[in-house]
Amino acid sequence: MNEALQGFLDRSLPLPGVTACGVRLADRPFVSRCYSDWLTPAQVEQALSRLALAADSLGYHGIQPTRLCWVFEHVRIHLALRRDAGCLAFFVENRPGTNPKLEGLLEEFAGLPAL
Amino acid sequence: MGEIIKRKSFLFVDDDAEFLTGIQGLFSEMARGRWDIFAAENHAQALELLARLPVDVVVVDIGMPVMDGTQFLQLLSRTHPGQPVVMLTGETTEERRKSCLESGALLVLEKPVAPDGFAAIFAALDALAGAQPQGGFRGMMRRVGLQEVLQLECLGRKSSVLEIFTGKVRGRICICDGSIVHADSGALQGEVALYGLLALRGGEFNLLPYAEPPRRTIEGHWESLLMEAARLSDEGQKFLEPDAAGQGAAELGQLAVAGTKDLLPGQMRIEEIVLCSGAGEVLYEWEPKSLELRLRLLEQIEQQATQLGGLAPLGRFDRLEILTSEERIVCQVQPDRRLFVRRAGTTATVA
Repeated sequence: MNEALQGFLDRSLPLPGVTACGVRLADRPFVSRCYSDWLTPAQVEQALSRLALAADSLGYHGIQPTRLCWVFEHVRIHLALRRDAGCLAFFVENRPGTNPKLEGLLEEFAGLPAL
Repeated sequence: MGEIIKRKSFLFVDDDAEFLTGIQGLFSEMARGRWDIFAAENHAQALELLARLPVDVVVVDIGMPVMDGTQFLQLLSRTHPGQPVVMLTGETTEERRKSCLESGALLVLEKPVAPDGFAAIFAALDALAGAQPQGGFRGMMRRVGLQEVLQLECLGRKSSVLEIFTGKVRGRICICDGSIVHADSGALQGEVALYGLLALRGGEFNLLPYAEPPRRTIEGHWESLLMEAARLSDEGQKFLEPDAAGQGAAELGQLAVAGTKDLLPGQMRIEEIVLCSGAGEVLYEWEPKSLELRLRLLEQIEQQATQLGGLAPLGRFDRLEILTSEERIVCQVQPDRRLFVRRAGTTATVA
C-alpha cells in the first residue's frame, strides 16, 4: 500500500462511530478496515464497488460529485472521491452528531499526494 | 375618525320567494347594515338587476325551473365573466358539485336547515365578498384562501372535509369538531400534506360533509398549524421573488425535507426543487433543469440504495447527499415522497 495512504489510515483510525472503512484506488487495489463484526471486508469491498459505480453514474445527470453521503436507517456511508478516481468510504453508525473529525479526514484523503 | 367600512353586496337568485324573504331578513340582521342584499326569483330578473347594480357575489339556487342554476352559472360566466358566483342547493351530488366548480362557481354550499348552518353560510359569503381579487388560475383566483375557510370551520367547531384540487395536486383536509385532524395530498399525509396544500397559490376547493379519515395524522392546535402554514407560505412567496431566493427557499426546502432540516442551513441559495409522491406524481417543482432527468435520477438512486441495502443490514434508505465543487444536492427517497433539492454554494459539508 502507498505510504501516504498507510499513514493516513493508521493515524485516522479507529474512530468512534466508524464501523468500517474502505479505500479503492484508481488501478483497483482495495484496502479495508473493519472495526465490528457487523460488516465484513468482503461486504465493504462490494459496497464500495457499487458506491463508486453510483458516483460515476451521476455524471450522466451533469453532477460531478466530490463527496457523497448515503444515509440509511442504521448507517451513513461517507464517500470521498479523488480526481485520480480513488475513493474512500467511511461506514459510520447513524447516531445524532457527526464525528467532527470525519469531515477533516475526508478532505485530507482527497488532498493526499498521488496514491 | 370613523372607520370606513366597504359595504358588501349580494344577489340571491332563487325561485322560492319565501326563502328569499327569509334569507334577506336573516342576513340583513346578521350583517348589521354592512350588506346590501338583492333578490331575484329567476334569471331574467337577476340579469336585469346585474345590469344596473354590480354585486360582489351572486348566490344562485341550483334547482330552478326553466333555466336551472347550473345553466345560469354558465350564462353568467359569459355575460359577466369574473363575477363571483356561489351555488346553493337543497341536495347535492358529487357530480353536480364538480360540474358547478368546473363551470366557475367559487363555492357549492348546501342550503342550511339549522340556524348555525345559516351562520356558516353568512360567514363564508362575508369572507368571499371581502376578498380582494388576485391573479391566479383561469383568472378566477381570489383571496378566499384555504386558510380562511379552515378558520371558519375551526372557529365554528365544525366537522367537514375540505377537498382541494389544482391541475397537478389533489388533496383533502379533514376537520373534526373544529380541529384539523388529517390531511393528505397524493402520497403525503399529515402536517407535510397540510402545509403543502396551504402553500398552493390557487385552485379549487369543495367543502364536503365530514367523513372519518383512515387515521388521525395531525395533532396540533389549528391556530398553530395555520400560523406555521402562513409563515411557510410567506417564505415561499419570498422564495419566488427574484431578489430573495435565499432564506425563504431554504425554509421551503426544509418543509419539504421534513425532518432533515439540518441538511439545509439557510445561508445558501436554492436552485432547484422537485418534490413528488412515492408513486412519482410531481407535487411541486421549482426551476428544475430537466424534470424528466431529475425524476430519473431519483429513481436511479432508489435502485442503487436497494442494491446497497442488499449487501448489508443498513436499514431503510433515507437520502443521498451530494457535494460538488459548486453545489450541494439532496435526494431523498421515502416510501411516500421523493425530493430533489439543489442549492448553490460550496461551504456546507455533507451530513
